[in-house]
Amino acid sequence: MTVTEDNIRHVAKLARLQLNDDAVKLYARQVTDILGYVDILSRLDTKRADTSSNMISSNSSHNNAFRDDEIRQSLGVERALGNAPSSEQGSFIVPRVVR
Amino acid sequence: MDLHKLTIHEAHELLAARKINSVELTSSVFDRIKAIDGHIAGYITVSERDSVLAQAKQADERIARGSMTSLTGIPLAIKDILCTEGLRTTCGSKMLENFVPPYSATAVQRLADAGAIIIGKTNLDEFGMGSSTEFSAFGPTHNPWDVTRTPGGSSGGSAAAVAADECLGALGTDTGGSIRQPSSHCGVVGMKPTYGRVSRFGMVAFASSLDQIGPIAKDVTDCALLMNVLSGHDPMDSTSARQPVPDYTSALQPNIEGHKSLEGLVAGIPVEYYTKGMDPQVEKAIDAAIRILEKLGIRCKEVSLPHTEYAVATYYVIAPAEASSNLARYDGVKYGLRAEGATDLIEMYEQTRSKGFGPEVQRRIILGTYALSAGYYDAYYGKASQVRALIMKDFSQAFEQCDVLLSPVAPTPAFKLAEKVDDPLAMYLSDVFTLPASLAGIPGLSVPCGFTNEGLPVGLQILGRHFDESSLIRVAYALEQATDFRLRRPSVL
Repeated sequence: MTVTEDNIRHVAKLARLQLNDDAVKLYARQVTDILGYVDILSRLDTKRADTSSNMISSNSSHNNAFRDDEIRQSLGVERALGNAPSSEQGSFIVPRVVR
Repeated sequence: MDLHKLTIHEAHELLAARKINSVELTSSVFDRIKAIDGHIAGYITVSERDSVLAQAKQADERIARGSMTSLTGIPLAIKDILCTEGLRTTCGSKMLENFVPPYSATAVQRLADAGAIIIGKTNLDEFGMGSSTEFSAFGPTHNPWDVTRTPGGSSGGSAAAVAADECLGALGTDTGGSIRQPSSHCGVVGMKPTYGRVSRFGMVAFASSLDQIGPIAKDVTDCALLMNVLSGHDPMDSTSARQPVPDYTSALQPNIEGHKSLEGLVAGIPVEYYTKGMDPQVEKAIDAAIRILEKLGIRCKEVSLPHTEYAVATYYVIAPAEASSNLARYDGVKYGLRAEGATDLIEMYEQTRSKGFGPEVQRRIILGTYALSAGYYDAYYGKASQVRALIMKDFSQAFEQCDVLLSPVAPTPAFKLAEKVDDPLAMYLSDVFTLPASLAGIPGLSVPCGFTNEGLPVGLQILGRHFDESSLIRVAYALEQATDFRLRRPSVL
């Protein structure tokens, strides 16, 4: 099953990656190889596989990770903006979103 | 006295007896880093000497007050994928080259609360994606046993730093083998705990159903001491387990002359892990280690993990898929790199992500996005999740017959730099022995079990039932104390 250059361009768009033509060619080849290898999974009969215990600890009845919605201390505006590439008046500045 | 050569427990005894203090211990480690890290490149960021010595002085005051823990005053290194408040955390990526976290990971905070000194942040494959530390945006780390070779990965910086006495211990992370494999290649002890044993809060997420933080140490005792401090429930991590934490040091039962310390334990030898294509010297070291364990009373039996051959394929669907989702947050908006000159938001995202991510990360994002995209989800992620369940069942069935499983960590010793960097599939296939345990969430430990003729370390992998880290520590300690591999040190200048 070949992953085409068009497939890669489509996926790159979904993943918000900008790829030049050489990169598209390279990834098409490599992803085809890797998924070609992954294809061995299709040989397995998994009809009786029970995935309910794949995640051994989260959201099970003996490990309820939920709590009541109560206000707790959080980072605060100043620390939240601490690594902002661009900020002003307590907000992150970005290129225009809506025209 | 070369204080940087001490183990954590040796240093603790000397500190408690006031024979040394943390300032001189930490200075010794600092000087060691200055002297040799140019050849190893284990660190991305080394803390300011003054600030580190101030921490050491505080530790000395705490010791004088009589309130020390096993880690007070001990200089440790942290893999640069774990957030450290106020200390740059890059994840080995240009995307986070100047990112300074506003909080520390729970695991790091636990070490700091215990009085440990955080010396610096160690090198890694970018965002934890890799098996050689060659995919760091800041250059590769070199194996202290042979600087022309990789230390393994992705926690290569931590493993190399521990092996070269550039810290007394370190934290690493393991998603598909990234603690165990570099520990094996660098001749140190490394443990991947059970999924949920150690909080993931503050660990920059790569694959959320696989990621775990764990210790990399000079010996099994140090590993147990670190596990005592790291383990336990954390309300900040919704996948954190509530299982009580035993005292892992009580699993350190010494070998007494004439007494078989491992009597009563059964070790499974999974036939699928002893394949063709293994380096004969690795096989030799593993066999010798198993013989030693048998002399100490362990009973070995062959077991089968029939879905082993599907583990690499399963992992390389699940992990990239989860990574593509976790890395979607890097968009130049709130933190990290923002590419200049974009005229609209989408352009900013695309340029930022293309400039910020290296080739292996981009490859995995593309792979993962493809596997999760419409029309492919069931065939790839869905199918892989089902195979994952079968792999988990293999282990639970095996553990009905045995207490631990013994296997190699890697099919070869450390490989040469650049040897596999252009062949991603070959790199992925070398993870064959470590991936299954990650998929199953079971704990795994790598303990030194020998050297090749070229003097390269070989590690024995010990796997166990969920939340049975104690059995792994018990078996590893018995092997360690019956041999002297831990006393051999790489000769780095």
